[in-house]
Amino acid sequence: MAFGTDSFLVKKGLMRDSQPELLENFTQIDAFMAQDHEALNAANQGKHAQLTCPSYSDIEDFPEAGETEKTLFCANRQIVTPTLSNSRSIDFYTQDSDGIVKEFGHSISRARVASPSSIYEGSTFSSGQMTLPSGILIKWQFFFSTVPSNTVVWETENMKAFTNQYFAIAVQLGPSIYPSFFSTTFSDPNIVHYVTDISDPTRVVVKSYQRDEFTVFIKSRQDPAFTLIAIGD
Amino acid sequence: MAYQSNIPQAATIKSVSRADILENFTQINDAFSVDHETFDAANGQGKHKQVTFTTQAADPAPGVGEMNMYAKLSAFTGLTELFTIRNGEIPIEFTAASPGSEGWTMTPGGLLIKWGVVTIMSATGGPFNYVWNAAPGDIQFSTQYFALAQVGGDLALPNKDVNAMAYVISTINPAQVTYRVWRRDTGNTEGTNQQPFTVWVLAIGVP
Repeated sequence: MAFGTDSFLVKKGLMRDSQPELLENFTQIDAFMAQDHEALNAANQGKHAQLTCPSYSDIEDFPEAGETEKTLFCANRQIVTPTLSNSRSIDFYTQDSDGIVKEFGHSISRARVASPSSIYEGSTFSSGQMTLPSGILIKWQFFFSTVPSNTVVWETENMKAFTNQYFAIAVQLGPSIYPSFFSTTFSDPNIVHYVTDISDPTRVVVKSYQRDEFTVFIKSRQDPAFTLIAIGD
Repeated sequence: MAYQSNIPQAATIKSVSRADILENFTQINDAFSVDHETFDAANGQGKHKQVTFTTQAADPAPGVGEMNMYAKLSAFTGLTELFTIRNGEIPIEFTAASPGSEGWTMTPGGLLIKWGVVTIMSATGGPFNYVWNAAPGDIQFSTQYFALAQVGGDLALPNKDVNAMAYVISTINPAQVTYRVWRRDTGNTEGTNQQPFTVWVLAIGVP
């Protein structure tokens, strides 16, 4: 029977046996609506005070989206990506009718001790990643150029990996490098760096050389630090 | 009239209860019609058409294994923004942003992206500081951040000064980016009279 405001109970009269059940139902409806919603009788009744999502613990239970639908729900990250683990185990996810699950947004910004010398300005360097609701993954990482050609492997501990070749990457000299290296007295801090291979989503190949006037030095100076930012999915 | 959760009572006469029940069903129908697919909808009863968040005065406290999404007035934008919060953790404001040539945006993962632009007039030297906007409404990094400074070439840059670069030397102070400038002319000497060039600064960190 369909829901309506002219129920048979109203038309035919209230039966004595129905009274307790009706009372209980209305009490339950009131309690139900009080969860996450503005209260019944409030001026904005029906709208949401918040959205509370319990986390799914089995990927088989994820809510399926019908055609032209999209679902928003919470799940344990390790269910979606078993290789991941961290304290923030719950995240919002979306799923469309094709079954594509996207992490709504998660970030890891990890400080790691990577200071081989006390003369580094700063004692910690970070790497990290963030996922965006669109499914785009942004990763960043420091590395120290110790040889003319560096293969930088993206950190994987509790981090997602690019599933495909990433779309764009930027390499920047610094920060947190030897102060003396970039002092004004240094004749030519001309360090050229260029990405030569992004075909492998797990790593970046960066080449660099240091030049003093027109002479190319191979590993003749102190090791510079670089940062990488890559965007992919 | 209004929704009554305590009707019908046993002692209430039927004519009164009929009106109360009718009103309750009407109110329920009205309430569910907001944001939700309607009762009797062929495809979607119980589903949401959208979620309209009313602005909350305080952060909710989700239980263990739960996560909340809600709306609250942002201290930074002065507008109602969306937040998420996990059990026992601080809220994440994820729709706030300040678009512009010097701006910032929050991300759903809780990180802050800031960007800015600086026109460098100086010759080789430094260190120089690019100080992030600190006007009311500008969210700041709370700790050391990750930064990228990208040199942009100006069309007016003369051939004499093709080699102009800026490099970040410190991100320790969360309020600024510290960089140095290097210029060299074709004579391979440090230039002293070059045109300005532009550096765009992009940083990722924790608010």
